[in-house]
Amino acid sequence: MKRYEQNGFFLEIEPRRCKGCGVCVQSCPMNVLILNDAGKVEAKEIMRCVFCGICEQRCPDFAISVHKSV
Amino acid sequence: MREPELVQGNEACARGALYAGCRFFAGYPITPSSEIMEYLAREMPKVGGICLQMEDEIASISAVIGASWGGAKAMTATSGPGFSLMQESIGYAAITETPCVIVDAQRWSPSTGQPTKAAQGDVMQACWGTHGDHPIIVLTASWVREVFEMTVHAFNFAEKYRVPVILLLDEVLAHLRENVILPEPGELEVISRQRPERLEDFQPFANEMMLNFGEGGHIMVTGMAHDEMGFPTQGQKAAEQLKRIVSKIERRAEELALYRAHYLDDAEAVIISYGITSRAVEAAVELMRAQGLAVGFLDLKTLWPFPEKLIRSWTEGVQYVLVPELNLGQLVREVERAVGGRAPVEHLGRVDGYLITPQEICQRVQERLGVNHGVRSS
Amino acid sequence: MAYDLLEEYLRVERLPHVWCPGCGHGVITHALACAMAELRLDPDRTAVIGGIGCSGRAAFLFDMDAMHTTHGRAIVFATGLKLVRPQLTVILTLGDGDAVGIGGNHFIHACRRNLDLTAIIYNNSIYGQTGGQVAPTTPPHKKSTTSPYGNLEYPFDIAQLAIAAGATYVARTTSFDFRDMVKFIKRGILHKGFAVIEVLTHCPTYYGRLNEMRDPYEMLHRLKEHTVPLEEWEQLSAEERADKIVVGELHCQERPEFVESYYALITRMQSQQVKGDGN
Repeated sequence: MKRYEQNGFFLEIEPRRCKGCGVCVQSCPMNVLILNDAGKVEAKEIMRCVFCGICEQRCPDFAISVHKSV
Repeated sequence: MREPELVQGNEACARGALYAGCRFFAGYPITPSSEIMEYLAREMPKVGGICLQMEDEIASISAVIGASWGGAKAMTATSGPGFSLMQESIGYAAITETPCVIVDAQRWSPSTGQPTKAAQGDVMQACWGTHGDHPIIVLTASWVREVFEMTVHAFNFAEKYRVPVILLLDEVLAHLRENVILPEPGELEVISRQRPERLEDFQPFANEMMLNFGEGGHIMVTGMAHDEMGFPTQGQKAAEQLKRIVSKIERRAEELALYRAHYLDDAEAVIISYGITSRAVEAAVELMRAQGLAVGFLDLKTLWPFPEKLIRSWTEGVQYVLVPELNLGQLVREVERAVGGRAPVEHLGRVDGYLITPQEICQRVQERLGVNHGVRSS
Repeated sequence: MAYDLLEEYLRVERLPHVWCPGCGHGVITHALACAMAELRLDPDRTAVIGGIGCSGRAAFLFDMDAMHTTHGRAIVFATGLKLVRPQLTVILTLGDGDAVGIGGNHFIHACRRNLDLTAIIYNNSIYGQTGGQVAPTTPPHKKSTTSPYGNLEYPFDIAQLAIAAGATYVARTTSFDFRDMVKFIKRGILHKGFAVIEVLTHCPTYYGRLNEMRDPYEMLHRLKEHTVPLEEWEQLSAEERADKIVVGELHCQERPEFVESYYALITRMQSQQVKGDGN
């Protein structure tokens, strides 16, 4: 489990569940995500993330999610 | 003293089901079984049960399986063509170990055949109709009161062993009305599925314990090969699970064997029959005994698992075995296998839509025992 | 939707699931779990019944009573279950082949009967699990492994079929429209009667590959482009509608629900008996 936190929000990625389809990467309006050499999603530019949650809604594999810090 | 009442075979089946605690029935009209659904459509709501006419027989058996997982004792009834449609889901019931009862009132031969003529042609389909290796119990009955009793047994076996149980009737018995005194409440044992004592470590597919849906068990039910928790598996585990569900019935063949045996101790010839044909057999044996012939009969109520040991022991040392059936030869082959060449086994079949008569049986046995004079009923 | 809440409804230990990379089925299943969580359904009183096919595999992912039935029969298994356990919320996960191919008869009769079930139809226009054969929902001219020269048949419009057969809640959306999926599924569950939520989705592995749209992202967007919300649809000419599919809440109607009707019958028959006994 990878966790990226910023401004009271965080993005969580579960690489074990990711099948590398790339839908989240292509869907991200801020170009935050990439597929790494292992073919798994990674947040390359978390600074740009606006935590809109589109990646979470598009991911077919329950591999990526956006949360508000408690 | 209770007065006897005139009851039809189908009605006895429906009343037996209610007696056994059946509270869900789904079916589709088909001759000669429709009166079962008609009776239950009237009576089920009065006892808080459900009777539903579905869009076809596939829907009927599937709804029965769903209802059984909901916790209801559940049944469907049909005849040959509908029974064939049910076969896929009967396999599902077998692999998911779902208690349910399927009544097949047999009619003449394949397809539409002769819907109002009796036959015993579904004996093999009842056992082997669904695909793959699987457990199944098949019962029959010969008298109207027995239809009631066997329906209760069918539910008891289904619930006790978590297995689909098939009750084979036939057109004549289904439509026959007899003067009977049906069992009173408490007279016959009624068995319900066993619930696990503890929920926490319960494995829903490890034994005959069963937890219904809606009871917090989060049970996963699938027709795929599955492990004890109900999740897909393969290889050795799949083999183990299949062997377990088959052997839970096969190894109990003797305790599941219901039958009536008469005049067997000194019998030189044994007649083995089931269902409606047993009535003619019994009459024939009485006629021949009156003549002094050493003939006995074995009237099987349980056809599957086939009571092989029972037949082997009862045919020990006899000279002749006859198997009358309303078909071109089905159970006779199982009997041959059990007898194992120790005595000649013959089939007496009839497929013109009429029942085998006591005279036909007497004639055949007398010929084989070398008795010249015929027996005539008075 | 916070994942810790989703985990109340999903068997997360069974992830990754069996579906192909980019398959829309995961998205629909996610939306279903979100709908359950937003409605705060009690997992002990909810059941998911799936058929056979890719969609049927959804049943394995829900941490509640679940049944993976035979092909095309999920609706009738659920009919038996719901009638004897009316307090259960019963949700169906069906494929297009499951619902209107092999199970078409059960589907129309369930619509007519109006049992309180919610059917989510994962419509990917193809038989995926068996390797990409033509479905009763495959659009004309599209290729599959059994329509290699293009489909010669005319497809079912599942939502229209459901409405015509008497379903009392019918909505259609796509796997692109996540919030609409959640909204319609929630309304379907709350609706008293047979609710059909058809979700048009993408199968990149077979439908996409055989029809020159391999990329799941591209397929998702194509779904979006080819669908028109109901309000806009009503403004379109017949010509403009030609290659479009209408989405939205297409039908909602009150009609006596079957389970309630049957239990009312039971109450009536039993009270008559009590009266009879008293005489």
